[in-house]
Amino acid sequence: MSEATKPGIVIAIEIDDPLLANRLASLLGGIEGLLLAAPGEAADFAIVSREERSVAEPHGFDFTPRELDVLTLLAEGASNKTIAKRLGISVHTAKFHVGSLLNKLDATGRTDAVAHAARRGVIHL
Amino acid sequence: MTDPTPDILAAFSSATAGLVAKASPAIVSVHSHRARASGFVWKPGLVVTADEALADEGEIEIKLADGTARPASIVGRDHTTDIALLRFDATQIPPARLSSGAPALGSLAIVVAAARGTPSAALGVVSLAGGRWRSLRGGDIDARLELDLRLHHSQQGGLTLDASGEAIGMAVLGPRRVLVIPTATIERVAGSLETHGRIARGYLGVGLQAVKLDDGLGAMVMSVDKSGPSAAAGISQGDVIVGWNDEKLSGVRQLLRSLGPDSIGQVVELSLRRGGEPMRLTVTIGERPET
Repeated sequence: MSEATKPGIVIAIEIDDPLLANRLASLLGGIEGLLLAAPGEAADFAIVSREERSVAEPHGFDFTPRELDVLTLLAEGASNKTIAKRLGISVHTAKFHVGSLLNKLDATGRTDAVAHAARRGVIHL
Repeated sequence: MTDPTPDILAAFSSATAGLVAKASPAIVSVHSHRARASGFVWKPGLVVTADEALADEGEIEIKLADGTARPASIVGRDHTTDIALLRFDATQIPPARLSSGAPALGSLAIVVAAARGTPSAALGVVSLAGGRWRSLRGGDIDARLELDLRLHHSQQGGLTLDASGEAIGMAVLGPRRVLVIPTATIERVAGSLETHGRIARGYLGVGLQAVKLDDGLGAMVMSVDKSGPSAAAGISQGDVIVGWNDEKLSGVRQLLRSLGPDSIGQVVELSLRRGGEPMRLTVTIGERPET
């Protein structure tokens, strides 16, 4: 495949602040080879906000509120697709959160973290 | 006396190459929307691949070892054990031979995969060999097996061989590690996917919040699915579950464990507190609906 026919990299902006999202979209929209994902379209990458403040966990974990949402759904056995649907985010973003959760859990060596985290929220069984 | 080292290395090298060559006819590449993975023929016309590396929608194409491509359809997928089962129309390919033995820690492991239609291989050792474990999403996996080799994304779903060339499982990517889904888990899960198209999970139909009680733990019913088994059993919002079949509730995990694939249809006696008063209700565990 020649360079000229390569498809662009599709990037999704998943930030709650509409002003910031718009500014990013207008900045990134002008870059050749970069395509902004339409709502609902699958993207190669997603830009997510990191402003979410971490919640201090009594068990020594350091999760963002979003990660706690994801943990609760994981405890229910949800797939990435289900997590995405329930939280209104893309599958890519759901995978990103699951990955960062796994890394954090791995670092602490706490395999029972799902149950611990699920204690904080309502779990649907 | 001559130095035997070159002979040993050459023999070792041709032995591993021979094992890969023997296994590779059963190895396929799996192409789905924006995703490339490997898989292997499990039974005639059926391919096992890594669920995580399979796109959520769109067409699926299987590329065979001989270079031909075939369309494939999903028979079933289980994200809790990372196993997906695909069907395609080529039934003449001999399935991979799966071993039931447990590999020893430190023994050799060869991953045979097919990256984008091209056969590929990786060599390492079994770097961790443990007992049964439960995945983050609650899947029962028969043995904890990790490999010390590097696995490319497109090699997920590749077959892991032991030094005798028998398959010990499917190679997948975990967080910062390469995991093997053992053959026992594949046989069980793929078998269930073939028969039922899914791995069923038990369902109570309640939203629960863990609460501390004076004499232990409870699970407070925060919401009730009107068409679920708990509603049918007469459970109400605000009830606190304190016991399960005469056993004191030990936590959320106990409930999760009690709702495995075999739990559906089981009749469970729940001990509750309603307005502080003890009571008992009988619930028949249902099947969790797809959400």
